[in-house]
Amino acid sequence: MLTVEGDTNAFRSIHGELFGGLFDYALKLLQDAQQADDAVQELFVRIWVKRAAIGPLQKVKAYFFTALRRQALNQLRNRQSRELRIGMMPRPDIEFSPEEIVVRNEEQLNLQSRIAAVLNELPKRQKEVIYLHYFEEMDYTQIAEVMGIHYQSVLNLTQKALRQLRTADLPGVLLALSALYIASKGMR
Amino acid sequence: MDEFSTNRNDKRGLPFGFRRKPLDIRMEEENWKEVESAIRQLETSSAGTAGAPVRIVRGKWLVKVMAAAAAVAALVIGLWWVSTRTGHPEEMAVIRTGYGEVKNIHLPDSSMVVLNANSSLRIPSSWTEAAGRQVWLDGEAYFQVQKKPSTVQKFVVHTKEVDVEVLGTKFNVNTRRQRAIVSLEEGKVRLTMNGVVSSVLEKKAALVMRPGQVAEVDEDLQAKVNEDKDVAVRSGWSRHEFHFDHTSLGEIARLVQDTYGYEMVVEDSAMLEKQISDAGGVRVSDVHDLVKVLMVASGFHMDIREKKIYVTKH
Repeated sequence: MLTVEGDTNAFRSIHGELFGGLFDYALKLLQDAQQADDAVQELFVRIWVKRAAIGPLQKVKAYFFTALRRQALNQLRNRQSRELRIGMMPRPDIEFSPEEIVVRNEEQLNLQSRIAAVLNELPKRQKEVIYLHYFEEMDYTQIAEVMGIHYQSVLNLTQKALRQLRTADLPGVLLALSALYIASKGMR
Repeated sequence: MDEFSTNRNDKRGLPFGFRRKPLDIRMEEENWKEVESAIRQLETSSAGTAGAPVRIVRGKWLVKVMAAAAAVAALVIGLWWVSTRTGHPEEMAVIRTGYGEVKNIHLPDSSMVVLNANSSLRIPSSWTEAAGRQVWLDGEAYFQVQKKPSTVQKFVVHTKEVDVEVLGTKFNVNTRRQRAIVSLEEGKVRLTMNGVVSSVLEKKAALVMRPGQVAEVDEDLQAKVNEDKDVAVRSGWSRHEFHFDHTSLGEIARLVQDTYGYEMVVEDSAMLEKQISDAGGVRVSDVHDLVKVLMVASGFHMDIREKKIYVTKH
């Protein structure tokens, strides 16, 4: 189990392991590669400085992602302080790109663009849940921690997102999603 | 039973998948270097760094030390550790890759080798005029050899089954699973078979290959040559690309084993016959990405646990 205490070797391992996910998440939040890179650097240095106070971590990944989210949103708020009311935290607005979607080869490849477009129309919180669950492979407990919301809220957001995908105009995908929706309702 | 248990089985219901864009490993390394140098700065500046606010300002580190006493030390960003080169000359340099790892190797003559996962390349530490340009390969590599004047020794790749003699070419050599497969993209190579010569053959057989040809030599040193319209696909791994054209899942399982060291376990052996095709090649950065693509392409469910991939129908 990786902890934040100890020498830089352990810290280096954590960096190697989490960098990809953290960078991608930062990129989704800040929408600028240079800023995302800087944000991840800054995150690691800050956590290093605080490491004695943190102690051994049960959930290293959730901790880092939570801290990154808070840091990135603060950055966004400072950037947009003229546009937003003071004290209001901006909501991350994640954008999925077609290259990040994989479809069966028999279906048309422009379905990728269509799926990405439908996903991007989802409300911000639903998008973030989808991202953390399917991209970062976080379970609902981790997502609740990272986003700072209740476990039940994560469930609700997921259900709503799946419902939206079901009613969207995605030929071929529609039938499969109906089956999924019915199945999940039936399991209650 | 809680349908929203912490396993991620609900993912299988999605008729499409997600794929992360592959990340350049250098990006992670450079990012870490900056983190490390900042940490060094903090360690070498005056005491009392606990609680110091840390901010990046446009690529430069700005560290404010809140300690009451002592001025900030001069910024010294030195290497944290000295490079661990041993310095004593070796007969042969051996470059190895682990599972899932790919390395680029530049040879003294400016030739380039991309060494695939779970492979090793042995190179004499210096190439002399007499010995010429020779390397020893176990596994798989893609070669881009510099053409040299004919007076200089030709370039030779030694493997267990064959020796590949080249003149300025691009070719892929795969020596996994007790056979050698040489695919030639450009130029010309001559293959000579190694090992015990059977009583039927008078001398070592030699085979000259043309671009677009793929030669397969098994452990009995039987050679089969085929024309392949799309030879470049065989070296696609060097560009992080996989391409499946009615490839059976069984063959993909062997590929996954060779490249990543992960074993595929199917619930029904008939599933191994399933043919997988992708529309135009897929780029993946690791085994997890590849499995995601395979799940969508095959319609099977796949679960990765402890270096094994469990493949089930649902």
